[in-house]
Amino acid sequence: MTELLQMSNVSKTFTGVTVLSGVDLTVCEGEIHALLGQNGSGKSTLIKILSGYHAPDEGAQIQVRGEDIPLPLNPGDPLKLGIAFVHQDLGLADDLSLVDNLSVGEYRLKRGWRIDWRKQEEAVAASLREFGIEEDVRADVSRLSSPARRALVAIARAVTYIRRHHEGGVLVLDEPTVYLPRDEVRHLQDVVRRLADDGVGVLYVTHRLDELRDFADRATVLRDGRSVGVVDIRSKGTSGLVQLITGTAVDFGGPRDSDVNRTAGELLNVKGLTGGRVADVSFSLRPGEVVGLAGLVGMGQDDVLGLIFGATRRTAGEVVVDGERLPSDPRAAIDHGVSFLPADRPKLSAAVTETVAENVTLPVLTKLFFSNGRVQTRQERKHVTALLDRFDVRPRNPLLEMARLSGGNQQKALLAKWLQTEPRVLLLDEPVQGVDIGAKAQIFDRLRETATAGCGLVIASSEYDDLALLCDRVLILVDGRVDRVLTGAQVTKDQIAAACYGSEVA
Amino acid sequence: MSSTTRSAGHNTAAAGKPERSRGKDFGRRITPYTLLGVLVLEYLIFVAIKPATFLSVDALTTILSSQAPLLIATLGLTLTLIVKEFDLTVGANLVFVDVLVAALAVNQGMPLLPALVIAVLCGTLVGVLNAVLVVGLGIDSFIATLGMSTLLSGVSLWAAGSTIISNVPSALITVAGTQLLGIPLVVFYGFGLAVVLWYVYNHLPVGRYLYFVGANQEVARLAGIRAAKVKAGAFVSSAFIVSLAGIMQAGTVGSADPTAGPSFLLPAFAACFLGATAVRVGKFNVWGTMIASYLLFTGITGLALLGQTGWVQDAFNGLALLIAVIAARFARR
Repeated sequence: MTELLQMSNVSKTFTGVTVLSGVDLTVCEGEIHALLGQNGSGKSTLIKILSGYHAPDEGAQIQVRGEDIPLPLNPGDPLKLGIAFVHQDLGLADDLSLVDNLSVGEYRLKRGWRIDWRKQEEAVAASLREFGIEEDVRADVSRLSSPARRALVAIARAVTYIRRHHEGGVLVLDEPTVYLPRDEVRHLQDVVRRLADDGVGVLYVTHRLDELRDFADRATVLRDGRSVGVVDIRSKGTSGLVQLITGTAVDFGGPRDSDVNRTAGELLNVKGLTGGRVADVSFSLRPGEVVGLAGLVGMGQDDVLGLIFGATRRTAGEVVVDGERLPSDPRAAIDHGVSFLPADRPKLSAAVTETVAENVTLPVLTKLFFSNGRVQTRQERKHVTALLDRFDVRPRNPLLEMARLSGGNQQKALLAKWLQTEPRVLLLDEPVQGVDIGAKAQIFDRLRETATAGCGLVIASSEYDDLALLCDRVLILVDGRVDRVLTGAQVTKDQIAAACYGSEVA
Repeated sequence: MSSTTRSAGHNTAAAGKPERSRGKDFGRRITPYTLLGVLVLEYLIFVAIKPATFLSVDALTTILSSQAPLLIATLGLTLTLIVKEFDLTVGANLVFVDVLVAALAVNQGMPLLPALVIAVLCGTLVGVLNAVLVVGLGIDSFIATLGMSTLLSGVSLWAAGSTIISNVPSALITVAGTQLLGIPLVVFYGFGLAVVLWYVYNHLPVGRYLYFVGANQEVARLAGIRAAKVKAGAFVSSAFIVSLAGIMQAGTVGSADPTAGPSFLLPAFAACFLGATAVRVGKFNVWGTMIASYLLFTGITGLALLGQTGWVQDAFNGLALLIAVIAARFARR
């Protein structure tokens, strides 16, 4: 096999802190090569060096198709070398058409100056068809029906770029599946596999180990900025990989023992909840109970939480907490002991330009820290430092800007933000999305503790095994309605998956 | 740029900016008090050029008080900038209130106190209208306040009969211009307001809420903050402060020029943006704005004392705004 990309002895030091040290990485022609590691292991930095965003320390070497590349790279260089990136946010312009998105920088010209739109549209349609997308290329990207399609469009664009310069380039997929539900990942993988079979080398960065099986060929594993091994995925089991990534075996615990307090009254009662894609959803929650919401994409399971909390407007139905009707308003929800941790961290959950302390205390600032006519910042910092300690947020510095924390640490801090309000009902949307394995185990521990203490949890997730580990009951949503309820022994990964897919066929 | 958004969640150590650019070194040199150093340096340069003029108490007093009404309006502008909205009515609203006071008290012969109250109410009403347009109807603040600003300029011209109104009642001139330790009272009002706003921004929950609404309005709302009300409040209180600046303008100058709006707008924005590169670097803040304001006033007054007027003022302010946004682009946070 020919080596398409070879990075060797790559180190990176930021103001005295070594983030990468002597990392090697090789991607061969036709190979799907996974880059694995926890948040903070140096994956992102390595990718950013390759994309020309960071300059590596002295001594690093990068070869493309056997030729030495002068370092540092400039941001435009990778494309010229046939290396294209698809980042997790995809980088599509939502309110421009497919043609516009795929034509950036290259238009077919008529008589050398006028854009030949007809030819341009044909070319774009042809390259999209190759990825199984038959859409009107004049429609806006925002009109695409599913997240998977958006991801495919982004990949199609990257591949177009590569082909413009070279046969068989390198495609870097940087956590392309974070925002994708399980069933759509499969389709995306098929497309990527076909590209690899055509000779493209794929570097695939991900947190989700289970999706690598029957897909990736080899993996480079980073831990604490060093490469701890290049492994053959087929011969290494998932548990072996996990051990390599974390350095220790991680235990998510078995399915939890139920803490449902059946003698206590209902904590939360949702009746005929309607709004957005959700239609007439009803369920109730007891103290200590964990209810899961599952469904295929677009079935509305992820909208239910926002409607309960009042983040989005309810058009009908009511939410009763401890016998009191909850108006559709976040402030009222918080005052009634309902907390909501949304899935979209940078948009809905954290203000990344503000400090960790300010983010964490936001919902309780006036209640806990406003006395004698001012915010008691010293008390606030002490409180937050203790919380960061308890939730193992690193670095444990309340004055750090939120953006400086890795995804997993941000999520732990945000969980701390909502648990300190001592909620009676905690609503969680994809609580471990984009979070590394170590942080995930810690978050699970906290959630179990919270339920044991008598809080009721509602979790929307597309990770069926996570739901199986945490939930007493799982509601399966189809077209915005509760289609089935799985309880007791039915709450397993397979049964949840079967219920979600099965109902689609029926 | 796709990597910018991404870097938010995944950056390990460095600030989220491409680091090869020379801006890194430039940015690293911007510390919270760099701007204060620049201010001192600027003054020393003037002293070096003409020691006899600039080492006098007169020169210092002139620098301190020459633009006090503008300083008050600039402090008011920080409110809307913190919630990440543009309020382009600052200049026009200041002049509108200024003209209203003069027109009511001089041309209509109304007693001073009711004239002041009506003028401030009208000026504050402008803030209410801005809030309705931006928060209520969801119109982009830049466009909404651009329209409002032009409308106000027209109304001011009409109210003043298209001329400068002079002979503002002396009571108002006393309130603004009486000297304490050789410095007019209006300067003390400006510093008093600065202390009040500093306390609000740094020590009251509502200050924190203002910054969060600016940083991410949805996050603020989902944390139980009445984000829309906070934003509307910023427009209204900003307009109230600008109205007070308008009154002080009438009292300081003793006359009202209906065409003066633009001469306030740009310096106010320049000072706020320049101020965001100091003290709390990367954020609009009171003391940074004060330092930046005096950097501008010293420059303009200094150039005037050297006999340079007219075009120099605009060129200086415009240049300062550009330097401010360039510095902010590279400032390390």
